Amino acid sequence: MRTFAHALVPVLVVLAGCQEHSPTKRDVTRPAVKESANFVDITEQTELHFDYQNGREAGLYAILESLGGGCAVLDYDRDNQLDVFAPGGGGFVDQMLIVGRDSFLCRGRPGLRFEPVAEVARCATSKHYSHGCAVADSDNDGFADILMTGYGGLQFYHNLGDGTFEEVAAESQLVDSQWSSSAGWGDLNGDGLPDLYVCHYANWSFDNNPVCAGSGPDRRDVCPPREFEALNDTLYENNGDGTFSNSSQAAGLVPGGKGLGVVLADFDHDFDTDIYVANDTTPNFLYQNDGTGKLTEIGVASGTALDERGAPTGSMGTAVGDFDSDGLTDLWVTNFEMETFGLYRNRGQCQFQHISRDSGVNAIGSKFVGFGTATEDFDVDGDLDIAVSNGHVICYPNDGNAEQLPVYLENQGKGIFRKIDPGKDGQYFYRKHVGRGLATGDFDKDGKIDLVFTHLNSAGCILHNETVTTGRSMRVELIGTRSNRDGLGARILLETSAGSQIRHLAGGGSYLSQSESAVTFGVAAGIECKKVTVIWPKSGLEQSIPIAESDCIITFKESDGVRNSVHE
Amino acid sequence: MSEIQFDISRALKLTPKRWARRRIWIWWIAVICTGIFVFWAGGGVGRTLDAAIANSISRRDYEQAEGWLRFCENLGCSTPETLLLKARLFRKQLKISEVPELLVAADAAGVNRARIRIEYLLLEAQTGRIRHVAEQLNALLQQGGEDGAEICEAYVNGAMMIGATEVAMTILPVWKQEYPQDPQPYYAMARILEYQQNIPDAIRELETANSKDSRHWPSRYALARILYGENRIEEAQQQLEIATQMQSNAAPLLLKAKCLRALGQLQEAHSALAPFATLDRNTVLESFSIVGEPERGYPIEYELGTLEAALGNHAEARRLLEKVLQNDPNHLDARYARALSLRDLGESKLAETELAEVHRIRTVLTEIDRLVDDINKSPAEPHLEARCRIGELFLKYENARRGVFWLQEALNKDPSYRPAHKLLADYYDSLKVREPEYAALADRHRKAADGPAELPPEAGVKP
Repeated sequence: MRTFAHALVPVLVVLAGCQEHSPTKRDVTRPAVKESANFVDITEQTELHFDYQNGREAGLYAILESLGGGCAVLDYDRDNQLDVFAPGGGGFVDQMLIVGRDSFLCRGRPGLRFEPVAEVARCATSKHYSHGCAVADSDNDGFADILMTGYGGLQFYHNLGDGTFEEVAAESQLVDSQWSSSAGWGDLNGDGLPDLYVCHYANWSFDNNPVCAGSGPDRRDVCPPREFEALNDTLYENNGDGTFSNSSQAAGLVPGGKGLGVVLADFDHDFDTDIYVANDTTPNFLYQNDGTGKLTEIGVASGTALDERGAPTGSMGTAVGDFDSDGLTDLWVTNFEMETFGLYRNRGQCQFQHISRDSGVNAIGSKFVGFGTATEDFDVDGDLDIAVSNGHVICYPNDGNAEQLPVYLENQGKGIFRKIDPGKDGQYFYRKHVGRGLATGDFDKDGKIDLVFTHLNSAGCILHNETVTTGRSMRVELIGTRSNRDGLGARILLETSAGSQIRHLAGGGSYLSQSESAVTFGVAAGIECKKVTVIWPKSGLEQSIPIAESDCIITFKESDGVRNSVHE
Repeated sequence: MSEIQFDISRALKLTPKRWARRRIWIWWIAVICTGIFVFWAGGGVGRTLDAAIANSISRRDYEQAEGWLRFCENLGCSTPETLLLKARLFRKQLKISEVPELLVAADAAGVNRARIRIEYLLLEAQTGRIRHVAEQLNALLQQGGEDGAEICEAYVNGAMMIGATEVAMTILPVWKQEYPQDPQPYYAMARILEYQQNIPDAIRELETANSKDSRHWPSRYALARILYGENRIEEAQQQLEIATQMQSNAAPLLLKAKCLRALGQLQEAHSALAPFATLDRNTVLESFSIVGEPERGYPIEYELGTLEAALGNHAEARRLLEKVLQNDPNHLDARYARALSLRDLGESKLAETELAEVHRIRTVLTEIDRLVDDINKSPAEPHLEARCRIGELFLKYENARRGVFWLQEALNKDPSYRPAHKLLADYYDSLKVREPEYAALADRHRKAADGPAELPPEAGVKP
C-alpha cells in the first residue's frame, strides 16, 4: 500500500455539499445485520426507453449482429440529473446495404424520470450501424461529448452546451471507416487533453460473410471470430483544437487483437495512463505508458494477456478496481462461455496473477457469455462488488437459448467473491436476457450505485439500488483545470479507521458503455472516515480534505497545491 | 497395588469330567483341521477366493478384487481360473500390456479355451479394435451367457475409444435392459453424453448409476468431477464425501482440494493436498485408474504447484511444476504456471522466453479450432487429413491422449489411412523407450503405415 508520507497543505477544495443526499430517505431505518444488494427494475415508472436492434430478421447470420450495443450514463446538460445515451444499432436492406438506426438520449428529470430528447438534442440520427459510446469532455469546455462507434465509421457528437450536439467526426478528423466496438478516453501524453483509444474488431463484410454450421432450423448460425482477420486498433491523439491525429504507430500500438473492450487506468501506479484491451479469442493487450504517451505492449509478460492456463480467452468487457484492498489496481475481464471470467490481481510493478479460481469467481460456472461489467461498492460495505451483463452471441446455442442470467458477485472482503441474486424472485437478476452493455450511475444521489443494462433486440433496463445497508457512502466529483476537466486518470484515496480505499477515475471500461464519471466510496458501519485525497493526473497535485462523516458529496477542483515528491 | 495370583497347579489338575470335555474339543479341532486340509488340498480355498475375485470384478470394485487377488497369491492357492480373472481385472484396469501374457499362462494352465478366446476378443474390443471383432462379439451377445455384461462393456469402451459413439449407443439400451442392476451402462452412457456436452443428462445417468451401486467409484467420481466442472461445488463436495471412502483415494481427494480452491479456501486446499505430494506415484495413478480416468502425469504435483504459486510460494511452486514438466514437457498449463513463478522469482529473462514459447504453441494450436470448424461444416465427410492434423498437433504440442483419439477417429473412418498409422507408430515408438509394452502397438501401426493397408485381427495383441 502506497502511503503519502508528506503532510499536505489543505488546498482550495470546493465542498459542494456534505449532507444527506437521499431524496426519499430510503435508508433511514438501518438494520443491524448487513443485507445483500437489492436492485429493483424501475424502467417502467421512470419512462426510460431505449432499445437496440441488430437486424437479425434479414437472416444474414452476420457476426456484425452479435456485438450489440452499449449505453452511457452522463449529465450532458449539467442539470445535476444523470441522463442516458444509447446507440440504436442498425439493419440490412436487401442484403446489400447496412443502415444505422436512431440513437436514444433520455434526459434525467427530478424524481427519477426520463424524457426522450435525442431529436431535440440533434444526436438521434445515426449514419452508421452503431454499437458503443464513450463520453468525455474532449475539449475541456465543461460539457460532455459523445463518441459513438460502429460499422462504417465513428460518429462524434460535440456538446454545444445549449442542450444540443453537433456531429463533427469528419471535422475532428475522426475518420475511421473500420468496424469499431468499444472506445475509451484518457490523457496518455499528459497534455491535459483526453486522447481516444478505439477498438476495432474483425474484417467482416458482405463479401466476407461465410456460412457457418449451427444448430438452428437451417443449420446455420453466426460464425465464430476465428473465421475473420483481426483489425488494428487506433489511438487518436487530441490536438487541443478540436481535431485528433492518428498516433497509433507513433505511440506503439501492436497489430491485431479483435478488440471488444478497453479501459484506461494507471496499472503500474506511476501516475500516467496505461491501457488494457480485452480481445476476442486473441491475447489481451496491456500497454504500459512511459509517461509521454509512448506505449509498450506487455500483456503476456505482465500475466494479463491470457488465462491461468496461458490460453487466450474470448474477452469482451473489462473493469478495474482494488478488489482485495491492497492499494493496487486489479483487473477484471468478462469472457466467453467454457472459459471463466478473469480476475487479475495486481502484484505491483505491472505484474499480475490470474486468481479467478482462487477468489471464488470460477464458482459462478462457465456457461456465461459475459459482456458489460461494472465494479462498484453496490452494497456500501467498503469493498468492490461486480455486476456482469450476459447473453450469447449465436442464435442457437447448445442449451437452446441465447438469453442468460446476469451475474452479481458480492465481495466477501479481501477479494473473495460469492455469487448472489440481488432482489426478489422474478426481478431483473432472476430473469434471462441477451445482455450486452452495462453502465452505472447514482441517479438519485442516494449514495447507492444504480445500474443500466442494454439488451440485444429488446429494451434496456434501469435498476434502482435499494440495498438496505448500515453503511454510508461518499461521492467524489472532480473538476480538472490543468488536467483534463473530467479528471480521467486521477487517483482518489479515502482514509478510514479501517484502512484506505483507493479508486482510479478510469476511462472506458465495461463493454461499449460508459459509466458516470464520479467516484462513490462505501464505508461500512462503525468505520470512521479520516481524509480524502485526490492526486491529479497531469499536474501531480495532491489535494486532501479531512472528513469526519460520510454520506456526502465532495467536489474537488484542481488548484494550486503542494506537489508530492514521493509519487514514485 | 494388588497382586493377581494364578494357581497353575490348580489349572493343571484335570478331573475325569474335564478331561472328557477336553477330548471332545480336541476331536472337533482335528475334524476342522482335516476339513481345512481337504478343502485346501482340493483347491477349495482357491475356488472360494476366485469366486470372491469374480464377484468383485463383476461389481467393478477393482480395489477389492485386487485385495482378494493379492490374498490368494500370498496364500499360494492360485488356480488356473485365478490367472484368467487376473487377466480380466488387468484388462479392465487398462493394464493392457500384461494381459496377453496372463492369458497365455491361463491357457497353459488348462483354462477352457473358449473362455480364453472370449477374453482375447474383449481385449481387442477394449483396445479400440472393435472392427476386427464386431462379428464375433455380436455372435456371443446373441448366444447370451454369463459374460454378456462383460462383452457389452468391452464393446462400448472400445467404441468410445475410437469415437464411434453411434456403435456404443446401440449397445447401451440392450445392456441396461438385460442387466438392470448394473451401474456400468449408465456410467458409459454418461461419458458419451458428457462428450456430447449434454451435461444435464450425463448427470442424470450418473445419479442412476450411483443409485444402483453406491460404491461404483467411476460413477461417483465422474459425477463429482462434472458437478465441479459445472461449478456446483457444494454438490460435488457431497459426492466426494462418499468417493473419498475409496481405499486408494488420491483422485477424489485431489478433486476435493480443487473444490476448496474454487471456494477461495486456499489454505484448506493446501492442507488437503500436501500429504499426497509424498505419496508413491503409482499409488496416485492407481487411484485414477480405479475411477476410470487414468492419468500418466503428476496431477497432484501440478495442482499443488499452482496452489503454492497462488499462495506466493514460488520456489516450491517451481520445484513441483518442474517435476510435472520432467515427465511431460508438453504440459502447457504447467509450463505457463512455471513461467509465472519464474517471473516472480526474479528470473525475468527465462520467464519471458517461456511465456513467449507457450504463447507461440497456443497460437499454433488455434489451427485445431479451424480444422474442427471445417469438419463440422460437412460432418458426413471423413475429413481424414483434418482429423490426422488435429491428432498430430495434439500429440506434438499438448495432449497426447487427445491426439491418439483424433488419430483413432481418422482410422475409424478409414482403417487404412497410413498417415494416421505413421503418427501413431511414431508416438508409440517414443513411449516404448520407457514403457516397453508399447512396442507391440508401435510395431502394429508401423506395419500398417508401411505395409498392407489393414492388419488382420490376429496380428494385434493376440499372441
